[in-house]
Amino acid sequence: MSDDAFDMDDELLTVFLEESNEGLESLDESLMALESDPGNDDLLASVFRTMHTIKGNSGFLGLERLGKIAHAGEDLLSKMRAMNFPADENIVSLLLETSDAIRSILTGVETEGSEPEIDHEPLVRRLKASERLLESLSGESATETSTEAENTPLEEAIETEPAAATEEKVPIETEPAAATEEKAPVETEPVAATEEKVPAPVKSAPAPKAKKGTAKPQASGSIRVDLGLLDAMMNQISELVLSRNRLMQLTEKTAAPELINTCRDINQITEHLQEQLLRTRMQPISTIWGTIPRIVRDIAKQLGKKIRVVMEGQDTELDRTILAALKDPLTHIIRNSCDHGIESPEKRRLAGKTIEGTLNLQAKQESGFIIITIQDDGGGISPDIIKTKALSMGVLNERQAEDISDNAALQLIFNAGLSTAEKVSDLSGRGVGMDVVRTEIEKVGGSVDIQSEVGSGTTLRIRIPLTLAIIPTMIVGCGEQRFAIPQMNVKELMSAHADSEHWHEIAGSRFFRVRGRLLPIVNLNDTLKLGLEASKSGSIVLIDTGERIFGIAVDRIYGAEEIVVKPLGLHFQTLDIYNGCSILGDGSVVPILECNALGHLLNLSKEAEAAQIMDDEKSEKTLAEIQHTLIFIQGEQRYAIPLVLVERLEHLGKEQIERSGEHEILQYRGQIIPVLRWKDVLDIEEDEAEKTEHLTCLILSDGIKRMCLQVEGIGEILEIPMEIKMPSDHPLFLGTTVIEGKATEIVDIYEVIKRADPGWFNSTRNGKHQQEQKHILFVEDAPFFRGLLAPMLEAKGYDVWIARDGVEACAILENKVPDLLLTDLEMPNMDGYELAAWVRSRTDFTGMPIIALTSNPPDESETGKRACFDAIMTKEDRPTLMDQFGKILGKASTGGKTDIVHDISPEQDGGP
Amino acid sequence: MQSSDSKELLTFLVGHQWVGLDIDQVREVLSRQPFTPVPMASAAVLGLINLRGRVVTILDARTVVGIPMQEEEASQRVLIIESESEAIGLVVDAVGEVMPLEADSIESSPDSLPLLWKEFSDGIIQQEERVILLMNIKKFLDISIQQQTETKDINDDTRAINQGRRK
Repeated sequence: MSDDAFDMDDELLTVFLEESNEGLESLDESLMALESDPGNDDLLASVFRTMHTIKGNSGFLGLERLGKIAHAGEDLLSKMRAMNFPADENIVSLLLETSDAIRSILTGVETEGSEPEIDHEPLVRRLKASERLLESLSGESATETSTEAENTPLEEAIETEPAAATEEKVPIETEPAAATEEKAPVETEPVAATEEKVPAPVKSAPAPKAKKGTAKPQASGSIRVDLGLLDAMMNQISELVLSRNRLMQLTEKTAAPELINTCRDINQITEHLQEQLLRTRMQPISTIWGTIPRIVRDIAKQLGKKIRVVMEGQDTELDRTILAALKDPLTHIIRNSCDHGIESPEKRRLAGKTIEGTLNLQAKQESGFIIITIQDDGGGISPDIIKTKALSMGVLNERQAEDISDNAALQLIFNAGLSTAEKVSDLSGRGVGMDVVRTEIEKVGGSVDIQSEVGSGTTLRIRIPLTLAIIPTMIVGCGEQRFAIPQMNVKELMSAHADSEHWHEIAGSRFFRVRGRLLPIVNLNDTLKLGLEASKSGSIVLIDTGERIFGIAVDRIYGAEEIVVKPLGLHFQTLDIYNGCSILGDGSVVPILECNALGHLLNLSKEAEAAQIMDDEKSEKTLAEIQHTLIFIQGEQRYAIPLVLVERLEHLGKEQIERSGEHEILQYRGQIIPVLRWKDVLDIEEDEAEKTEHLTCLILSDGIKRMCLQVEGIGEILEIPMEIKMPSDHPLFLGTTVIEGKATEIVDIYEVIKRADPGWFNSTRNGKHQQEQKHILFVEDAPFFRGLLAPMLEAKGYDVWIARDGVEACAILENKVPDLLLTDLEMPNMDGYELAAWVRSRTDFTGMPIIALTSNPPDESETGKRACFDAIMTKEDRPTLMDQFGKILGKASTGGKTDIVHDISPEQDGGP
Repeated sequence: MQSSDSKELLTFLVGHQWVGLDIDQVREVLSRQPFTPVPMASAAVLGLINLRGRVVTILDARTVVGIPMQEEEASQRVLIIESESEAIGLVVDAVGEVMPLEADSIESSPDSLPLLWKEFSDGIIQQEERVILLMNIKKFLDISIQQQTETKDINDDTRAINQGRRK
């Protein structure tokens, strides 16, 4: 039968399939819109037209089965229109089923070339029965009776259309079969969402050619491109990028200016081309979200639940490869949320929640990543239940189960051991297949985590890179072997000499202590069995996969390179530690490390893991010397200065900077402050850019004096650990660090200020009283902060002794006694608490004030921790810092008099 | 390849065994060149090379058939083979000649042939002073691909030694 139909030419069929598929997409949308807006004639008309078109085309192409179904559907719709019958839930369900049936036939035609042998007869009968039912309801039986109407028993129609008789949409609230895991929820708060219901009604007729979902708002000016062609182009561009890299390297060796210029052009053009082509591969996430309302609706109906879908950021674009890979995990998560997350209406009512549950989908872009959150306001997942489960499954031992944080316990839901176990348990079912979800997401370089609060809901967060094809990487080496590490995973680089005291070995696993935290280390030499001699000097690449943080120990770091990911061949199928390879600018091939898999390889022994968990808990509050840092830019180079010193960012008119003798000055808030131009500091020649009318200026202030630093541009303000990777020989720089994968010079701002205003630090020092110099012992492990604060203190006339940790401080204290001990709290070897306790235990230091200076002060409640200190100050608290020193020192030396306060900061009141 | 009578065979040595491969399946023959090792890959995978912008997996033919790997020798050649989805480089001990293949000279593989060899051989050709084994490259590659699961947990010492040797 249908086989004869396929003499038609392929092109015609292709067009038909494309059109029909698009039509179906909008059909589903319209149907669901119709469900929430039953009386909408436009929607009904649009649904009718789609069905009509499909029927017509299928007749033309001789697709009999398709024609029959579409015909029955059309008849029912036509009856509804004629009678002004509002679509109810059941009719919509039936029509959606029809749409599914049509889709399955189309798929069959597309793949097999013929209509699949599926028996759609029952569906056709139900459609016809519904139609007759409508007719009988209205009492008008004469019009438009389908001639094909058979004698279907009316019972069947009634059976399948129970609610058709009542026009109201009363949901039948039965307890869903799937047992739910929730304890009695306590929160009433529904997810705040102001968005309108989804899907938005489609007003215009979904004429097949007119539109395609929400993906392409404008049909004009765009053409269809074969995906194969696009992929082929992508490959070519990738090759071009590689050749470009090679070309750039070659020209570096020559000096012919014309060649260099041409190469620069090619470089730029390639970059643009690459960027634009990448953009053509981007598709809005709505292309995979489109089906979600439908899925949710079906599940909700099946389980007797009420679920509203709210979607935000449907326009967020992603590479189509990634989109395709995301579809299944996303669907799975959503099914889980509807099935196990959102409670039955009855349960929700008892819990004081809205009857209707909300599923909130959100997509947004965030620094090179797309963050997708799937949030439900259901019952949440209890970490305790997971812990118990993990314990019984042997995923955790008792000690770990006790130590593990609730958040970490929740993440165990992605653990294969736990995940599969849940299939047979009645715990939640929520974990089922979550390990697969994670694996799928990780395949495209993403990560996923879960947050949940019992009673109020669960949020899953997926983080994926924008694009896969060309990625920035860090090239590292072990011996002769080089590897590329995707930069999106690289958080920091640090040097780690083999003799460093930061190395720890716990239960056979190696750790490196970074800012008080034990970082598990993957040693490439061991893990990949490179069989190399362990080298003395080495580096650690700090990796954050979103799921776990660890370090990769390597011999050396070559630098950053943008590479094209090429797949590895069939001989590497079982190797998950690589996610491809690439050709570098010098023509050599490098494997690209897959950081998630490497992280899983860590395989810490249980004890070590427990130790790490405890260590993490301990240092959770004190973690890292996070600094707010301002990045500014001059040319290609990035510079970092601590934000504490920046009072304001100003865009000034060129004329505002005046000249006074040799110097440039700025009138600023009633003061005349010196101006320093960064390019002068660096001895950069003036160029075109100088012509800009507006100048970007940083107003720097130490709380007393100000100066203006004019820079070319501001990069960003980041909260990052400031750690100097490479000390600098340049007097103006403390050293170099890597911030977000880019080498950044840390500016020694005091040196800079000295240049602008040589008298800056002296003015206050030559105060009225040339009193006895006070000694401060300053204990701080971060060179950055030492470099920042020590000059400040010295400028105030103190004599500063410096120790890098508690141990060094003790050594100094054994020899000389300062007037004040100023200590950081988080330090290696001996931290501030230990140091303070030690000092307090010694009678020879009685009365010595101790000030703690920290980024993370202990809670007010932790009196034990606070007991040893006279004051605890935060590092951000710059203005009061000096004030406090003065007060405390004054008290200590003069018995409560606070002369020094006034002495050391005479201009304090006039300050900002 | 297209017509049966014009088939030609490229002969090469794997260990001491002469092997013949339909010349249409060999894209080019390279002298041995430095390659990028891929740590943890199966033993037969020597690494990757950049062949005019294309990444090619290099296999050691000896290792695939279970003959101990050999030090690098000047006679060694890399046969670039176009398989279904990718290009594979096969390191052989020496390349012989290109000879016409007459269908009637093919005999079935003798029972004495080791099982592994038999698996990828389409038969043999007896010549006066040598026997040429006809290689079915698809089967050969399939075997080498399968080996990765086996080698995955085979003793790592060998690999470490190999790795060291490649340096």
